[in-house]
Amino acid sequence: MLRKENVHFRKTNKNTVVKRVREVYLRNDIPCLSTQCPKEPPCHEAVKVESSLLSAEQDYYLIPDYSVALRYVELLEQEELTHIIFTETILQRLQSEDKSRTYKSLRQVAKDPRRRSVVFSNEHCKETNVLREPEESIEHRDWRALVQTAAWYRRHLHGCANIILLSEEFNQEDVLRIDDTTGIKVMSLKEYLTQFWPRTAVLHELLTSLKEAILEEDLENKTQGSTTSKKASGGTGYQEYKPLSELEAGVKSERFFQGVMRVRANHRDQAFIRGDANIGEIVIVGSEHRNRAVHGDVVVVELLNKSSWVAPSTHISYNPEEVHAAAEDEEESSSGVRTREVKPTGRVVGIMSRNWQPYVATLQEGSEKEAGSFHLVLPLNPIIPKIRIRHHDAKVLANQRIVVRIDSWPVNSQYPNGHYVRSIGPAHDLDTEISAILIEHGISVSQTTQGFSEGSLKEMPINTPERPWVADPAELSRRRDLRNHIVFSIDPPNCQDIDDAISIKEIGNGQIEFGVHIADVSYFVKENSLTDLEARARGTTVYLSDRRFDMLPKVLSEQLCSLRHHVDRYAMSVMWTLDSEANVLTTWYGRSVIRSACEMEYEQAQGLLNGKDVVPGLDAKICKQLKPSVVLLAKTMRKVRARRMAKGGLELESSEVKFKFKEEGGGISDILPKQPLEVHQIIEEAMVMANGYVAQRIYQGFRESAMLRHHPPPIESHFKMLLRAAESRGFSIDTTSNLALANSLRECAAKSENDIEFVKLLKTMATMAMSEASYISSGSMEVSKYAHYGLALDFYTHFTSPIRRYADLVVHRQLMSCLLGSTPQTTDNSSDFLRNGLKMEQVAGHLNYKNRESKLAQKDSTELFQTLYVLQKTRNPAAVENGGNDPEAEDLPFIETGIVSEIRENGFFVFVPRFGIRGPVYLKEKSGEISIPLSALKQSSAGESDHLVTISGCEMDTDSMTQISVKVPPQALRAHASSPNVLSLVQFRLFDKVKVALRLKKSLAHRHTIYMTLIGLDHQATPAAVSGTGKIGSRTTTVAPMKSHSGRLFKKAGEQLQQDEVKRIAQQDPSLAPLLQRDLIQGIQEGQQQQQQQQQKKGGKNSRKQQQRVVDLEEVYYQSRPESSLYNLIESFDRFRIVESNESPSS
Amino acid sequence: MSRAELLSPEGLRIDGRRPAELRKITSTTCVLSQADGSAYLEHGNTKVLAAVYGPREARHRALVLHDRAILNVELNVAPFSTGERRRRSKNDKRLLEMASFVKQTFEPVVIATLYPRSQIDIYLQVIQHDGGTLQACINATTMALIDAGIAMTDYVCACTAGWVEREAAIDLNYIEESSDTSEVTIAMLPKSSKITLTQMESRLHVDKLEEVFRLAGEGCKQMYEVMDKTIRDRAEDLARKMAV
Repeated sequence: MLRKENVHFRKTNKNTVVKRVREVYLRNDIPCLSTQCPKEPPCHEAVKVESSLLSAEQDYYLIPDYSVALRYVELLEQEELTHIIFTETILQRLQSEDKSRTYKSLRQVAKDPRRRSVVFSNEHCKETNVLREPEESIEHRDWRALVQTAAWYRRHLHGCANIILLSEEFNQEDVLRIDDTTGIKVMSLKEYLTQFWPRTAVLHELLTSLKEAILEEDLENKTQGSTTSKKASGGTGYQEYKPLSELEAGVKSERFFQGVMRVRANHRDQAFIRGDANIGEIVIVGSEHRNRAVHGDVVVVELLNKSSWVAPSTHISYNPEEVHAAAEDEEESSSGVRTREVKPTGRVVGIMSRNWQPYVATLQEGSEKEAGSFHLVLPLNPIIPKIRIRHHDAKVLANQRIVVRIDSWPVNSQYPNGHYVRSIGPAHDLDTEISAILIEHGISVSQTTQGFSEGSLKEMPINTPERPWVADPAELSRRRDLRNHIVFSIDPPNCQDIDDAISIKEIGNGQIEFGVHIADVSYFVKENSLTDLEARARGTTVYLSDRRFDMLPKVLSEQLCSLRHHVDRYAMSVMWTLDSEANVLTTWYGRSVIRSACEMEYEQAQGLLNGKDVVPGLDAKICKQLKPSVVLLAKTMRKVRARRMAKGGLELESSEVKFKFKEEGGGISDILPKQPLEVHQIIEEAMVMANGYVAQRIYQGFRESAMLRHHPPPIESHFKMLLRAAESRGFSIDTTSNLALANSLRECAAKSENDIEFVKLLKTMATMAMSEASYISSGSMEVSKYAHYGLALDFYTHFTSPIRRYADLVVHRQLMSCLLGSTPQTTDNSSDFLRNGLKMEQVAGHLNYKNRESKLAQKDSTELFQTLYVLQKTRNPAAVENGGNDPEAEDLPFIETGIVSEIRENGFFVFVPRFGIRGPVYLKEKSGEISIPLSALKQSSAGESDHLVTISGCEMDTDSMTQISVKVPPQALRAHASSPNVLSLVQFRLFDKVKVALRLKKSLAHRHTIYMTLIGLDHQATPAAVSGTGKIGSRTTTVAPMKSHSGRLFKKAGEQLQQDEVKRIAQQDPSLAPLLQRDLIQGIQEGQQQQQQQQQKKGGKNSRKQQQRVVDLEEVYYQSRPESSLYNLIESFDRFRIVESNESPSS
Repeated sequence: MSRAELLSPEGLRIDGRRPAELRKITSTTCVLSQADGSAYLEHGNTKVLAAVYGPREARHRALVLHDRAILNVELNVAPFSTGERRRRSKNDKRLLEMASFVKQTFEPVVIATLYPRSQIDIYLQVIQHDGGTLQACINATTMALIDAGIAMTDYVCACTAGWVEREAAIDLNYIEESSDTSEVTIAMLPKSSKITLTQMESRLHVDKLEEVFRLAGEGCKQMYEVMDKTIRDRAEDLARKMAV
C-alpha cells in the first residue's frame, strides 16, 4: 500500500482558512468486478465484496462522467442501461456537493443486481489515482481520473471489453493525452442512444426533456445573477431554509422538530408532522408556512407562538383544484372556531431530505393555447402542488396524463420547477388511469408489462404441450409421498395461481390428521437466481380490480407451482395430528408431493357444507368423496377458531367489493359486495394455523433473522372516533386489550342486532384504528413485540402464498434450512443471507413498502371503477346522443340508501354499503349558503320532484361530531306551506340512514370524484319496508316529531316478524341472516321461557319439542352464518392507515 | 454539508483502508541524546515523541517509596498538532486523565521493585494529532522504556477499535473518531495476551463489544510485531557497531 497525503484548504466557522491534511492509502487490491477478469482467481474473489458483477454478455462498459451523473440520473436509472461503472470520483463529488439524492439514486442502480453495474473505487486504486496538477481545474482532473480508469479497465481485462465514456462536456480529443486509447470511446448521451438504442423512443424522449430542463436551469441561473436581490422577497412569501448545522442543533435541543410531512388528503392546506411524544402532532397551515415542502419530505419545523396556533379544520373541502379558496376558507374557519381545542402549529424552517418521486400530472386546462414554453401541470394527486415544466409543444400534452419530476423549488418561485418525463395516454382513458395508478405507487415497468428477462425465463423449467413437465423420480424419492391422501383446494372461481391445498382425515381413536400443503416455489426459484432477484424487487403480485400483475413467470405461477388437480405437484406441507378437541398432538413439516383431487370453489364447498350432496360444477363422485372431508374440516376449524377468539382474536370489517364486467363493450355491469361464506373463515383459519406454527418453527431456527409478521397494538388515540361513535349509541367500548375490544364489539353487535349496518360500520371504525401489520426480522425487536394483535397469536408469519408474496418464499427457505438443521449447504452464500438479521431487516422493510404500495394501488383501482360505475349510471342517454358530452344534459339521478358515517362541520360523509362507496354530502355550499332539499323535510309523502326543490337560508349547528342539525327559517317554510307535514328542524346523527343521489364531480386534471346530494332521510320504517330491506326497527330516524311514530311502527313490525319471515329474509339476503337469526333465537328463547313459565303454571310439559326447534334454528344459522366476519380477515389489518389518519377528526 | 460515509459499500474506509487494517506505522528509538531512553512513533499522521528519564533519584522526598520506583508521566500536546492552532493549558483535564491512563498502564508492567527509592519520568509530546493519541502514547512509551533499559515483564501494545457504521474497524483516524463513533482502546501484553488497560468512549451495543475487542486484540498483536522489529533492528545495529 502506498501512503499519500491529500491537502486542501477549508474555511472554518470562524472564517479562518485552515489547512486540512488527510491521509489516503492507495491500494492494489481494488477489484475490477468483472466476470471477464483474467486473473486467477478473479480479483473480486480475493477480497470480500458484495456487489453485482459486470458480465461478459455485453461488449462494452459505460463510465458516466460528473456532468452526466449529476444531470441525467433519470436516464441512468432506466433499466435498459446496464453494465455501468460508477467511479468513486463522481460519487465523492456528488457527496461533497451535497447532491445526496442523486448519490442515492446511483447507489441504488449499483445495488440492483439486474443492472449489472458496479462502483469502482478508482481514487483508492494505486493505478488509477490521479493527482491534481497545478492550475488544473477540478473538472479536468476528474476527467483525467475517468480516462485513467477506462485505460486501466482495458489493460486489466486485456482488452476484452470496450469502454464508453459518457460525457456532455468532453469529447474524443480529450482522451488522446494518454498513450493507448484503443477501445475507449467518448460519447455524448445523444450519440450513445442513437448508436445503441435507436428505436427505444422512451430513452430519447427522456433525454430531450432532461436537456430542456437543464437549459432552463442554466438560463435561470444566469438571469438570477442579476436579479436575485430584487426577486428574493418578491411575493412568494417563502423563506430561505436555515443552514443544516443550525437545524441539527435545533432538533437536538428540541427547539425544532423533525418529521415526515404529510398533507391531509381532504384538506390540502393543512399538513402535519408527527413530533415526539410530548408534543404530538404539529400542524402546518398554509403554503407560506409549508415553505416549499412537498408531501413526504423530511422537514424541520419550528413552532409558532401559541397565540397563532389553530385548530385543524373539519370541513369537507369542496374542490380539489382550488388551492387559494381553501386558504381563505381556512382563515375564516380558524377565526370562527377558535374556541375549539388548538393544536401546536408550526412552520417549516428546513428540509432534511426530499422525497420527490415521479408524479402523474395533467397540463392545466387552456395552458396549451398560451404562448411560451413554460406550463403549469396539475398532479393527479391533489396533495402535490402544481409543477412548472418546460415543453416546446404543449399542444401535444393537452388532455394527456404525463409523468413529471420535480427538479428544484427556488425560494422565489411560487411553484416547483420540474420536467416532463413521458406521456402515458389520454386522460380518463381506462388504461391510462391504470398505468397512472401503477406509476404513482412505484410498481416497476417490468412488472406492469408482465415481462421477465430472457435470462430468468431460461432458468424456468420447460412445460409445453409437446414436452410436459414431469416430476423427477430422484426428487420424488426425497419427498414424503402424500399422493394417496385426499387433497383438495378451495379458491375463488377461475383461480389460476393455487397456493394452498388441504387434506384431512380421521385416523382412528378420535384423532385427526390434518395437512396444509403449500406450493413449493422455493424448489423452482433458487435463491439469488435472476427470477428470485426479480421477484424480490417486485415483492408481491399486484391485484387490481380487473387485472393482476404477477410476481413470478406464468409458467410457475399458473402451471408448475400452482396446485392443480389430477397432476403431481411438489408442495411444502405442514401435517398435524389433532385430537378430537382439535388440540395439536404432533406437527410435521417438510417437502412432499401431492396430487390434488379437486379444485373447488368457495361456493361449491359451502354447498357441500350446507348438506347438499351434489353441487353445480362438480362430479357427483367427487362430491361424495369430498363431502366428509369438508364437513370434518369445518368442524375442526370451528374449534380452533373458537379457541383463538377466546384469546382475543378480532373479527373486523372492511367494505370490499367485487366488480362484474360486461362481456362486451368493457363496462361494469354490477358491483357486488363480497359475500362472506363460512368456508372463507374455515380456509382462513387453516392458513392462520399453518402460518402460526411455521412462525414458531423458524423462530426456533433463526433467533436473529426469522422473517415474522407482527401487528403492534393500536395507538390508544386512534380509537377516539370509534369510542365517540359507540357513545352516541350508548355503548361503551373497552380498548385496553384485544380481548376486551373483541368482547365489547361482540357485545355491541349483540345489543344492536337489528341494525347490521351500524355494527358493520363500528367494526370498520375499529379496523381503521388498527396499526399496520408489517414484516420484521426477529433480531430487530424484543420477543414481546412479535405478537400479532389482531389474530391474538404470539408468532405469526406469511407462509401460505409463496406464488404471490415474496415474504412467503423467504419463510419457505428458512423453514427448509431449519429442517435440514445440522447439514447446511455450506459453500453457497444462501444460508448466509437467511441468517443475516440486518439483511433480513432490509428485505422486510422493502417488502412492507411494496405491500403497502400494492394495497394502495388496489384501493385506488377500486375507487376508479366505482367512479366509472357511477359515471355509467348517471350518464344521460340523451347527452350521449347529442354527441357525447353535452354539458347541459342533466345527469340521471342515481339514488341509493346510505348511512351517515362521519359528521363534519359543513356536511357529513355517507357510506353506501351496497357498493362500498363513501362520499361527502354538503349541507353548506361553498358560498356559505346552507340549503336542504324539501324532500328531507317531508315525512312520508315526499313528491317525485321534491328533492330538486331546495330551501336555502337555513341555519346549521353541529355538536361534538356526532350530530348535525339544520333549522329551516319560518319564512322559507311558508313558501312551501302547501305541502303537509313539513318539519322545521332536521337532525342528522351518526349512523342515520339517508337517501342520497350519487353524483360525479368531473375534473380533467384529477380523477372524477363521487359526491352525493341529500334526497331525504330513510325513515319509512313501515312493516313492508322492514321485511323488504331488512332494516328492522331502524332507530336511525331522529326527526323530532317522527320519533314516537316510528317507534310505534317498529313495535308493530317486530310483532309481525315471524320465524318463517326471518327465514325468507335470510334467503333473500344472506348478509342479514346471522343477526336476524341470533335475534330470533334469543327472542324465541325468551318467548319460550315465558311460555314455559306459563305452561308450567298450567302444568303442561312439551319442552322437548321446543328444544328441537331451537336446534333447527341453529342449523339455519350455521348454514347462512357468514356475515359475522370477513373472508379476508388477515388482509383487513393491512388496510393502510394514511387514509384514516388524514380523515379522523382531530380535536 | 452532507456527512461523508465513513465506510463505503465497497468496504473501504474514508482513507482507503479496510476495516481491519492499521495505518502506516513508523518508529525509531533513541532519538534524543539527552534522555535515557526515547522513541518516536507515527500512526499515520499521529506523531508522538516519548522520552524516559530514570530511574533516578526522586525529586520529592515525600513521594519516595522505599521498596520500588515511582512512575511519573507528563503529557503535552503541541499547539500546532492540529490544523487550527490551539494552546492547551498544562492542567487540561483531558491531558491529565490521559497521562494517568498511561501511568496506570505501565505500573504493573514495569518491574519497579528493582529500582527502590527512585523515580522514572516519562515525558510524552504529541506533535501531530490525527486520532488515536492514547494508543500512540502507550506504544511510544513502551519503546522508550525499552530503549532506556528499564526492566519490564513484556511489551505493552495498544490499539483502538470502534464500530464504524456497520462494522468493527481498528485504528480510527481523526475523522472517524470525531463522528460519534464509539471507540475502545485496549493495551495488551502480547505474549500472555493479558490486558492492562481498556478505555471506552461513547456508547457501544453490548452485542458488538466482543467483535470490537477481538479486532482491537488483533491490532495489538500487529503492533507488537512492528515494535519488536524496530527494537531488534536497533539492537542488532548497536551490536554491529560494538563489534566494530
